[in-house]
Amino acid sequence: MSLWIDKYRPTTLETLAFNKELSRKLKNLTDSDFPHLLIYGPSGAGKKTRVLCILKELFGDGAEKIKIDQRSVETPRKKIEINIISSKYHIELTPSDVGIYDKIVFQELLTEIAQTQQIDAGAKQRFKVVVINEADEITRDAQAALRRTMEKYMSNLRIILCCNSTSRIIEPIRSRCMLLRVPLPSIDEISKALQHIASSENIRLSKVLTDKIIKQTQRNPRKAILTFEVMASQNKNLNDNVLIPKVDWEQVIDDIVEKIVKTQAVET
Amino acid sequence: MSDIRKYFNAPGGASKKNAKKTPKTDNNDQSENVPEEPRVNPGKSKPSKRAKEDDSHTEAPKKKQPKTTPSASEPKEIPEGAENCLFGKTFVFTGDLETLSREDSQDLVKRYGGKVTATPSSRTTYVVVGDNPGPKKLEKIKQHNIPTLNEDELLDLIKNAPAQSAEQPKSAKGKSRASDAMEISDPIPTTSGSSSTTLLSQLWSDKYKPKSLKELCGNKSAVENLQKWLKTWESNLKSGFDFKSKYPAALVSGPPGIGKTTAAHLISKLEGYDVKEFNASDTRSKKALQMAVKTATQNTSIMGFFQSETEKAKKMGRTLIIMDEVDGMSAGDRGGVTELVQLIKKTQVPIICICNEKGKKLQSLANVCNEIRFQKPRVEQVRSRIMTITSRENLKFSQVNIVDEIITGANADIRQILNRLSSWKLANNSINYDEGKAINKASEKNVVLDPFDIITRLFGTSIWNNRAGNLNDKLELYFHESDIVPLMIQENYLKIKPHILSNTIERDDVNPKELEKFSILDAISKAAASISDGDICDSMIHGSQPQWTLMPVHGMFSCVIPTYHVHGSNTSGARYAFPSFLGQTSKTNKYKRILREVQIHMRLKISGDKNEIRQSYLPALFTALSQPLIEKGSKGIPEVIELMDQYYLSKDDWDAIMELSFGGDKILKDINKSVKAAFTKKYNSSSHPIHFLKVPSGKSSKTASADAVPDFEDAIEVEEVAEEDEGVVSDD
Repeated sequence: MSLWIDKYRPTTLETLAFNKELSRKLKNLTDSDFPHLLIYGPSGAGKKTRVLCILKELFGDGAEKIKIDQRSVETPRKKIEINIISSKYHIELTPSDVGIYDKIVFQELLTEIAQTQQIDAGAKQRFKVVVINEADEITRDAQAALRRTMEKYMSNLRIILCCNSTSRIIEPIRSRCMLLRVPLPSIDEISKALQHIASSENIRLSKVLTDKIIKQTQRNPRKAILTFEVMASQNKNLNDNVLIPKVDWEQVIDDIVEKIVKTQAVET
Repeated sequence: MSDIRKYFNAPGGASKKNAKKTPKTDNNDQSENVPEEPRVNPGKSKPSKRAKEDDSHTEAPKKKQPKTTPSASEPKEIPEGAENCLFGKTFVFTGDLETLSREDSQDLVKRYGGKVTATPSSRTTYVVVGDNPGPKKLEKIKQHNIPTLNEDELLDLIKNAPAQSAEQPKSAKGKSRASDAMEISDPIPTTSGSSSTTLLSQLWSDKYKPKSLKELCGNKSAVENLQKWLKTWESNLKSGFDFKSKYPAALVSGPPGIGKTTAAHLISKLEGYDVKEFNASDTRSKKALQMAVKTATQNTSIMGFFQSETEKAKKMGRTLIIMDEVDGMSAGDRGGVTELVQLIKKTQVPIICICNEKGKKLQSLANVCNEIRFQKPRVEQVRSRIMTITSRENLKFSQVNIVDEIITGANADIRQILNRLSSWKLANNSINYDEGKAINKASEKNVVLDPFDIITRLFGTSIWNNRAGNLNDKLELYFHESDIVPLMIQENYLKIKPHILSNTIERDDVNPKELEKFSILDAISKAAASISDGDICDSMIHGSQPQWTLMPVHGMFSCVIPTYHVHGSNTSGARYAFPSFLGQTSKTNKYKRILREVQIHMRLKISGDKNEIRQSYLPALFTALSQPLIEKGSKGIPEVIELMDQYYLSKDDWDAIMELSFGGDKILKDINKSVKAAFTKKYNSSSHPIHFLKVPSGKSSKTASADAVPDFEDAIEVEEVAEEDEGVVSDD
């Protein structure tokens, strides 16, 4: 029993419900020479899902079989440990986990990965893929360390950077990548997805309530689906007047705002 | 930015202008006021000029009216008066003088031998009245019919008053004090002659060490207490110590240089004890103490052998232990204090412990000791002693109040005073007022203030007073603790009821209370804006390319400007709080760490990063993981465990999710305790898929991987991780 959002996650480029145009482009890309990618867009729009689909398209089902490892890297000051998610064909890193030591992760780990070729002779592609998460949280120094690696080891390595905004990615990196923006889907697209889930789960979901959920969750599909599930688990019958639960932290922020608006004076 | 310019421009610009103009105005003033006076000594006039510039620094930013009349801001030439021309006259200052600051004007009076008191009385000679005088003082002036002066008249008085000699005071009022000084300053030829030649190498503080109780300065009652304690010691020993009024030991505490050790030695000698002293230069560990005390208590001192039998019997065992500097007994002297306490409880000889400050460290010691506190002596108590010593050393003061100045400057630390004076004596034979100040200035200690002191000053009104220091002095406070002070200000600036600037708009159509509220909010918003500017500075200072040159700017933005806006009274009355920012930051980091853990566990199933997990997944997971336990009790357990297994969540992660969610602690209370226990038990008894096995490095790796193998199957390829100790990389 997983949450619906994971249960109904698309796994191939063809089945992606949103941004179909983009999916088609990506499909063409995987057939030709595949560049470095910089995928950005608001959270919940489906960047990671898309990356997984691309990997599957590139390497076949083997890319779906992932595992987690921990690698330790020695720095002059201390030993740092970083979690690595990998399949046979790709590696996923979140360098921002190690804070200011992210540069060393690139210098030690990435170079090591880049220096060897794809071992599996039967692999569809001759290169390996490194997915870098939270790329906008990486320090400038670390980004600088990435620049040359991206060019030098092009034959062995493709990098997919994932981030919310490109503003903190340095110019040289942006110029080396193909920039892809994954926007939030339209209301229609989300509502279709919600209806699809509802019918699969045998829940009656009215059009009005769907729109209400989408409005409340600001077109964020992940949030919409999760909210929908919470609602479904809390209420037996979903009629149009069901209160859409607010996420806990939003509630806290609302309370603070209310206080500020109510009395404009110094209260400690 | 225009705001900050205000702070720099006003004082800086003014001083520049002044500096340029001075020569010209010198002439003007000369021709107007002092036609018959000879040219002012250029060397002497320099400090006074500077004094005025400093003064304009402080006054300029807060002057209410723009200076319309040029005469008000132009510095006045301070006349060179005759030596001691104000001797015997008593002055009181009230209000702000036109150009001189309060401190400068008081210095001026003192320099010429005048005396400055705080409140007017019948003995006051003149009251110097400036702008905004205190109403109470005005009342007193009327009551006692005291003549008043303004600034110009004061300067005229100094210029025209005839010279007087401190040694032969004409004024009747000054006579008593001056004659006091005279008596003391009579040289004592018999002793001084020999001592100054033969014992030239001795420190003054040793040379003039008190030889009788009378010579000790101040602390009469403390000394008496100590003496009484020692006198009754033997009878108390016989009757037994109760640690309430009868103690086997005394703990003398007080600031340095006021004669604690000297007093202890003197009293012991007077009461006929041989003193055995231990100080920080001796090892005072448990063992060393035991040894030393054994010899001290079980043997007679060597003095005993040279005394007659009767005397010997009397003095038998008359040994006293002085434990000096006990507050230094910590790191090196492990167990020292505890041992000392044990020793005191069993002692057969009196023990005097001496320390500067009795903190927590010495609490156990204080419990078994008769506590005697030495205060730092008052100026009058030290004065005569210093005068005696200096006269014996042939060091002359041009006025009596120089001594006072030096005493206050050294914080009544007698040893310090003597050291300062003796080093001065090496080159000079006399001291005048300015030199006395210079001595103090030269040996002024740069005390590091603690953050609480700093923000008390910054938020207090006194340093913003126009008689107080200039902008740099305020910035200096930031540099005492440049890391913590900005945080302290951010933490506490809302607790201050800001003084309302007198230049706030006055409007008839608005309720004054509302207006006040508005101006408070306005002041706070300005302070907040400046604090956030300061934060930008801070991030540049501590950024990837540190820019330390920005520190003064940071100090200005984060400390001086905010406190300029919000200084006032601390309404809550509570102590200033320590920045909660630090605690919150470490809490944030802790939550981030937990969240990363949860994320990496869930990563096999979901795509979001850790922020996404918190923002979107947790609210959903939170209900899904807790609701079944609340509603169905122990029947809900399998459901929850199944969900956890789906996401590779461990029991620790379950706890983490509860901790990370708002209201998690409340939910935890709602879950029945027995259900919770059953849940833990059930979870631990069954096997679960785990995301990966962290292979511990070193010895335990074999057993750990062997144990964990069964749990692996669903998650990852077992063979690789189990066989290899190091983590497997992609190249497989």
